Amino acid sequence: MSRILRPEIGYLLSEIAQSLDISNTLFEDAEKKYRAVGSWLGEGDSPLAKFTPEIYPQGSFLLGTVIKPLSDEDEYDIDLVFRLLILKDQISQKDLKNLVGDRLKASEVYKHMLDEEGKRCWTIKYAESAQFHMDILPAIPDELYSSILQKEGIPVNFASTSINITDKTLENYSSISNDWPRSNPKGFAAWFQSRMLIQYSELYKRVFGEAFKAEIEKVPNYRIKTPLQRCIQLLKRHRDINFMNDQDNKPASILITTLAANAYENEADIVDAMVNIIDRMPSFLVKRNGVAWVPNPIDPTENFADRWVDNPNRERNFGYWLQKVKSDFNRILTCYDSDSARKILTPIFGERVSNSAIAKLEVKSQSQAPFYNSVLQKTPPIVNITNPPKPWRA
Amino acid sequence: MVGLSIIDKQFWELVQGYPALHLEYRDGKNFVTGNLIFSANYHFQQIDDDYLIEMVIPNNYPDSLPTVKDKTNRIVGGFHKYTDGTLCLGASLALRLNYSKQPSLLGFIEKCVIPYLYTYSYNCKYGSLPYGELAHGWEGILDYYKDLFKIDDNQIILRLVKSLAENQYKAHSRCPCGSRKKVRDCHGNLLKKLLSLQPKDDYLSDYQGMLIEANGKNYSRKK
Repeated sequence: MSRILRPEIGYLLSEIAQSLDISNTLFEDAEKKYRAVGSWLGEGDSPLAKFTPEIYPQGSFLLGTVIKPLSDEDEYDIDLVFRLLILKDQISQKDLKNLVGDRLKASEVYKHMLDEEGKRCWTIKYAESAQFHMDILPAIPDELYSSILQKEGIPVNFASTSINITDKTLENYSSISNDWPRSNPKGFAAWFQSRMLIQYSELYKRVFGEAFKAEIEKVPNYRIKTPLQRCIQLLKRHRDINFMNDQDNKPASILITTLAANAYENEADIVDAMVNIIDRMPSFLVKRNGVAWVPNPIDPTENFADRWVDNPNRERNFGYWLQKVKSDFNRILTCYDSDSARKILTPIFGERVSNSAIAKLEVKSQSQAPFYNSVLQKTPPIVNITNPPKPWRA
Repeated sequence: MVGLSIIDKQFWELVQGYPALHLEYRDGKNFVTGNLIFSANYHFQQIDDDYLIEMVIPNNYPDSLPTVKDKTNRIVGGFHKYTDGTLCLGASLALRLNYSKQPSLLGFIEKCVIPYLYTYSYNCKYGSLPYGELAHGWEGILDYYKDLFKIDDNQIILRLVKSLAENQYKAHSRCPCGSRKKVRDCHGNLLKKLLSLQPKDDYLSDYQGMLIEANGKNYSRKK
């Protein structure tokens, strides 16, 4: 039986997060499929081609924080933005939505896969073997709001990607109007990336070498996972399990992601990151005029917690969940051998992922030397600097 | 030339804590190269970082101390670095003094190299130097001696360093600092310690350099 110390706990958490992640094959399959949809919608003889269309992922797929659904029957949902260059005085929300819908319906492939029309998006359901469906969100750029945000002091690389989206429940849905719902998934991803850039660049260098430096500032590469992304995956899993029978009060992923990314201080070690994130996360939940507020970091006027306003239960439940997270992760730190790890991890993350991580740890500690070595590399001795020489040049 | 056994022994001690470093022998010299992964604290501010380093161990080690280059090329030219890429870890006497507390390669890494890298990482992260820096050239050396003796007077510093250069330590003579006390009861211990660290000629060149710096700043400054 292997002795479990802090580095081993870090190993277990990383393994659990990795097995919650979308597999490389599935990711690449999804990427291929969304590009295929994009080219049907916007290339060749498509009537939309003249609007310089762009298709890109948003949400956890873009941020690299996707996790497996709890049950095997559920699918990953992959959120896509399909953006056309059209001005608001030339089109109504409804016409934009239908422009995209009609093109999908014109395809022999997609017309059979199209789900019932959503509030904001079109959903394409793939065969069960694909294990995912795609939500396509029709959008146009919101240049006016981009410039307003920049005047408010939001950096241009976050603000410039503001978009307008449609919502069929709105009164002005069918008329030409300047008042459209807003979103900015690319800006959020750029902010998220900036919160973990130090660790991300380090890992990037290790995986890809010094080349391709220009890529770093853009969206996260899915092959690289920083401790922040891993921690968010663990937190989301903890939430999925805790709110299994209370879907209505389940905290939104965007809330967890924003609070954790704010709290993260570029720790290199997953355990350090987790402890710090859990400790600091609640402090980024603020009150504005008595209203609980989780500001969108790239648009402070937007409250990610606005769904709490009409249901105070949700706010209370979120508070309970934060407390539960804290006590559960404190228990994880007390794991001392495989059996105690099994007892502690299973109720928190589920049986299958916990067992497979523990089994991997056991195999790894059989071959003592390499693991010992890699542990040492992760945790160098702590040097306490006293009377340091000051840098000097002749 | 120093027997390989000393370096081997000290390298073995070093690699226990820093397993990503390797010992190489090429072009007649010993090199310690690889990734220096460290975790260091100064006033409760912890920094974890790593740098690809190349440390040359001179053949007269430990009479001469190793020199270190940053092979990651993270440390930019404007910071304390010579044109050949060697890092300016500190005034040579300061390095000697720190090395003497733990005279081994491990000691050199932990007392001289990591504090320097810590400063650089800290500066990247917070935009300031945690324990300051010395001015370039003799001015910086003069400042260093002022810190060391805790005396802020050029002339007294020069007298103290001159006494080191002359190496005439007599416990009963008056202290060169001008306190009118006997050396033994004043700066005696520090002076004795300093004399054991490096040959008196090194103090002589410090003395000469600082003399020019203090008295005739404008007509000669060694770069």
